Amino acid sequence: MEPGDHLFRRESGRMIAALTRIFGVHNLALAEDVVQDAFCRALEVWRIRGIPENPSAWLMATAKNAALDVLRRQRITRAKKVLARSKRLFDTAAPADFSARLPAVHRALYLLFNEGYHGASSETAVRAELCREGCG
Amino acid sequence: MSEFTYLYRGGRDTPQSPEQRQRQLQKWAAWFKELGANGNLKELGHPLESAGMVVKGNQKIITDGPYAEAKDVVGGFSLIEADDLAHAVELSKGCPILEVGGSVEVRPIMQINM
Repeated sequence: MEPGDHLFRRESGRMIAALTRIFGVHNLALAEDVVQDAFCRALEVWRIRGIPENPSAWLMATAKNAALDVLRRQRITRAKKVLARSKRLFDTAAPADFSARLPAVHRALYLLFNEGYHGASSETAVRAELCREGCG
Repeated sequence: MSEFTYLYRGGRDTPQSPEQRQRQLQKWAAWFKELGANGNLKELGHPLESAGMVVKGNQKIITDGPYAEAKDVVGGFSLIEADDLAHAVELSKGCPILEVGGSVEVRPIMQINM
């Protein structure tokens, strides 16, 4: 970085705009927070390791990952609250209710095995070995 | 020449404007450049995450940690070559962390003469 190159000042607005496009205007405060966090982290890492080849991409990736982390935690918290409120969810269905409940069960299985809806791991979208198991 | 580690502590929680961050980075780069040019920088070293796990004792008790005061947590380290401890201390005075409330701990690396 050249002296006088105002990376942080320049990136701040650009990153907040990009993150708001990705996560929605209602997450503006989140976007601002994760940009600040990314700047703090950048200073801690770069002061010792030096500035990376593409500092803008580094900052953006760091901020975006932080935002995804926060949103995932929020989603899990919301889901837990919903589950806690609806006490019916984990009772055992009476045999008469089986056919009414089957579509919901199918949907859950589909999301789990084919769309990779799995709270803790989001590394891959499709979990091939589970699909094979589920279909076999 | 003997080897030393610089342990950087604190200086990470001061609110900073984009310009202050920029200046900090430039000062660190200049400081390391000077150390390198004079043959005093053995290794840049690494920054450290502030929280990890601590494993303790025969029972191998695992706790989150270190969770000391932010100013006491080691935030990174470098390897330095200097004539003696006094020289290493003198060189550390240029570290920009000192300007933002942080500290540098200078520790000689034990010499093993085989």
